[in-house]
Amino acid sequence: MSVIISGLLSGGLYATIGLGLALVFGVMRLVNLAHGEFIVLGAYAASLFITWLGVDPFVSLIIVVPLMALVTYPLQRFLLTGLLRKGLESPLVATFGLSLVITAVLTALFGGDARSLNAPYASAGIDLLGTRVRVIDVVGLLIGVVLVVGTHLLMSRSRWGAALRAASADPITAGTMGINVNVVYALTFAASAAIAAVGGVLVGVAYSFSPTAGSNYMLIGFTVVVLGGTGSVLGVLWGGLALGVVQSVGSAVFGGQYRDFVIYAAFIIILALKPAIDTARDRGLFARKRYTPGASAATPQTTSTAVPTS
Amino acid sequence: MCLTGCAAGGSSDGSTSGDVVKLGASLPLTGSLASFGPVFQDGYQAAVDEVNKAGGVTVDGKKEQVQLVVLDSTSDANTVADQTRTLVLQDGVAGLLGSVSPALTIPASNTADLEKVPLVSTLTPVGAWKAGNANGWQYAWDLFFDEAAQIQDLFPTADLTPTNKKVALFTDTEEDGIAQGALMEKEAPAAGYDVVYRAQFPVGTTDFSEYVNAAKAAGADVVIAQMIPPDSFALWKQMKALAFAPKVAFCEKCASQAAFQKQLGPLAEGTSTSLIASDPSSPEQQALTTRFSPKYGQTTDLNSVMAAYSAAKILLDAINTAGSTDGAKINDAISKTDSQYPIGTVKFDSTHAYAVPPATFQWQGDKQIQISPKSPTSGTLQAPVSGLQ
Amino acid sequence: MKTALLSSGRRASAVRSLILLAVLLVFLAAFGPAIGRYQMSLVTTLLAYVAAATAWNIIGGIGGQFSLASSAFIGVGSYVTIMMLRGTGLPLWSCLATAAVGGALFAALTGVVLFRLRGFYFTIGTLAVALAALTWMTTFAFTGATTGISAPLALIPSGAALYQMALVVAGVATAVGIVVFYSPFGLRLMAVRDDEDVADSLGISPFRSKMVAMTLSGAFIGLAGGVFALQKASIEPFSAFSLDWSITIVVMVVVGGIGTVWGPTIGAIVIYYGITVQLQSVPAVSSVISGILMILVIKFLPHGIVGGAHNAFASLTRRRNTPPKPPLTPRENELVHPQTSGLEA
Repeated sequence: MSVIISGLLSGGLYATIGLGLALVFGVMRLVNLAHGEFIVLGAYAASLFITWLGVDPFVSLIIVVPLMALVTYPLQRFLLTGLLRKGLESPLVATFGLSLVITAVLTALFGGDARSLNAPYASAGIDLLGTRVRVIDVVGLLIGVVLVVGTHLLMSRSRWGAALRAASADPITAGTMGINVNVVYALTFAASAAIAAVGGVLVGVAYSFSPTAGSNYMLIGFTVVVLGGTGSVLGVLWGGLALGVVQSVGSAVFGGQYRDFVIYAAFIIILALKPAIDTARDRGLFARKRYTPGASAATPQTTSTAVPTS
Repeated sequence: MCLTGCAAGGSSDGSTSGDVVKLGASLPLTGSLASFGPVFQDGYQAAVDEVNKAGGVTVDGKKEQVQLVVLDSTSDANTVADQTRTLVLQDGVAGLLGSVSPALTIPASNTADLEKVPLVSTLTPVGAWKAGNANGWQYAWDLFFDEAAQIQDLFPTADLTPTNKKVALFTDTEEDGIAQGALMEKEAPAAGYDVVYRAQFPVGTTDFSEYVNAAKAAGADVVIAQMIPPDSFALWKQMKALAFAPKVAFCEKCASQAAFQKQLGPLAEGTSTSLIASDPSSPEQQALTTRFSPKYGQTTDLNSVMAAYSAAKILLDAINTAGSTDGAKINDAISKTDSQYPIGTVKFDSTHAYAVPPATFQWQGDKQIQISPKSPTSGTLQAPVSGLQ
Repeated sequence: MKTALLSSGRRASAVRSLILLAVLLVFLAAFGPAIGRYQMSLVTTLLAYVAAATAWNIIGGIGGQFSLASSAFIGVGSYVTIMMLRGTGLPLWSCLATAAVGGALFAALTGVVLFRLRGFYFTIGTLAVALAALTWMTTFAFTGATTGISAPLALIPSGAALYQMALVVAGVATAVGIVVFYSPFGLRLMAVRDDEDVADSLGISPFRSKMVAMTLSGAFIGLAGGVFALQKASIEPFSAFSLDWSITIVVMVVVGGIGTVWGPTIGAIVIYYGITVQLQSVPAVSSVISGILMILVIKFLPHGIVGGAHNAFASLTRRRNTPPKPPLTPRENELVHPQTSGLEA
């Protein structure tokens, strides 16, 4: 029981990490290999404001979140959107180059030492259903749920969400309807980086971070996205929670040294089964309503697996 | 493009150009072990500066200045292998100085043996280092404690305070984590302790809550962790949050750095760690303490500086004794080392190791107080671990 | 199929490339001993990178399957070589040959599991394979877990011998790369890359083509791993299976020119010799430069240095009788994937 609770609690952070990735992938099929570095960047930015202003880590987000959005907006607007036209691997390579640069710059500025953000609640605990848990893990779970549900509502209920879905489903038609697709894309990217910054502060308070920690978080994020079914916002939450539980149950059963292996193995198995699952879903076995307006009659054989082959 | 190490010009065949004798080290200045690199560099540089001030080393009858060439290995073993090869083949170093931990020292030791250039290293547990070459090292030398000796110091330290003798081990899956964890499980009963729980986890683990809860459920009073510093920060925070309050806590490899206290603040209070003692009767020990205390305070980083200084000094003395930069001659001189250094009177055994006696230190405020063995600066063990209460 | 029509022109190009390769190899073999031990050890590493990058280009460039599993193949090749050398006492060459077999088998296994996936899913699948292999090796007692294994130093070849071995490995890998590129098989592979469904409807089996390419690629990346391991003498999982291998190899191919014959070689020279070696005292600068270079190349020279040079050369001479060399056929409507994108709200 305590194993499952601790798994669910780390799931909130995992969902936060996965959400930004799912957003850019869902909206513009962008695989952002620098997402882990954005998380670390957010943590470092927060650590600066905490030292300068003496504020609480989560208060620093008031500055860090808009700052991250502001810095990353032009990246999508002027670099990545153009590359999206060239296929999958161009943005892959560019965001990978970006991750190298961020890591190196952070190392140069802050040194390679691991740091952590200190707050009184970082080492506080409470009793939950008879198990002692960390306050910060509960906070992480709440943040994860709020972010995912908030994003979901924003996408499904707001005008901005409608524009975004239109730009995602059919950029050209959306363009002719007066939606500035380039701006929508850049805003989405900036929002994803802002969410990464929230994840960065969570990571910094709960654990520790160093300039090279990004790839680890990126991988967690991808696992969440794939587990949750790509392109689905609410799925990110299920993916995050599932990953947390698989991880803690896996290490309880097989021993902690196999903890990461269990995740990767589970990930590969799920991926390998994905085509079969998708086919089954398309045949109505797991019928789910998907918002895919373009996929009406033109190409019914294209499933969600058939990512633009490139 | 040529930033350092180009002074020797085009000569690339290991022949030093006469004016200067070079020593090389590939150190973790960035990456997961970054907190060690600069400390090593300080110790090595101090030894080189001191020798240079005294006129340098004698090679072929004339005095030559010494230059230390340091490259950043980014805590990566592949990079250590490449860089030590560069240092030998490109910079033509007369000797290599080691790095911390078996993972980084073994690749450097391989280069030493393959290229027949001597290497002196420290802060690398002797057992794991020896396991890196089944046939025995020829040109590599190590100054540190043996894992078994460390354990023989660890349990008596825990004996200083009454506990229920139940131990929880937290070891990562690096070489030394595996080796030391197994050894501790084996040695505990003889010392009167019972290992009631052992958590093993990969490097980079962030969430320790299940392990902490399990250790707490097992009722352990003694915690022994062996892990890299970043992971230990997460573990310590989680022990506190989950109200697991051991009477004695050791954090091997992780708490032996000033960074531990800097990052954890009050949580570090009362945590112990093993490192090597220094020899207060050595005049150099006094001088180094005076020189580096302002920078490192009273922490084990100071002992790491002593260890690094000693390693460099042994190599420099051997070059002097050999009167040559010939690898085999220096190597022979190292094998005959028998004099006093800040970490003690060094004499290597037939396996190329000198077992430095381990010492245990405890974080008290921003100082690390030596608990054992007794020395003029040593203090008493504070229990329970107040940072985790 | 049109391959028969094209084959005479392609054969001539293949022969030209092979002759160039032979000249380069003879040159390197002749002048190797004269460059000193340091340069020789650098060129040995470089040649192993050339082999690995060229091999990756077969599946990643010609086949369009963006694999990140190379680090696992390097690791398998490294471990097989050292364990064979240590355990069997077989001649060095047979140990390296088993590294190729090991790399090929592991690549084939990866392919069987992951080739039903396309695009991004395949890429992260290979990333998971690379990481699963690394984490498995850290607990696998048979290979010494995190401690790793080392070969007796007496059995490690001299720098000069290793240089010759690397030369042969890189030579064979590049020759195979050239042959694949210009062969009917290469054309089928490109057809699969450009549109898997169309290729399928033309009677080309995407799965079989990708499997052959992946296996070939795994064999030579494994061989390169063997050379790297022999240079180090002792290996452990974190360095032998480090994800850095996968990344470095991709960077080299992209910078040099993905899907081109000589791109991987040029990329390996630029990245390893031009950046890593020159800036090894300042690794942070070296990775900033690699990162910026990648972004600039992908933005302005999508076909890498080779593609850029070819375009410059073509526009300079204004000759239009040769088909454009960058084999990445322009794709239309890339931004529009109405069927596949779409966000589930």
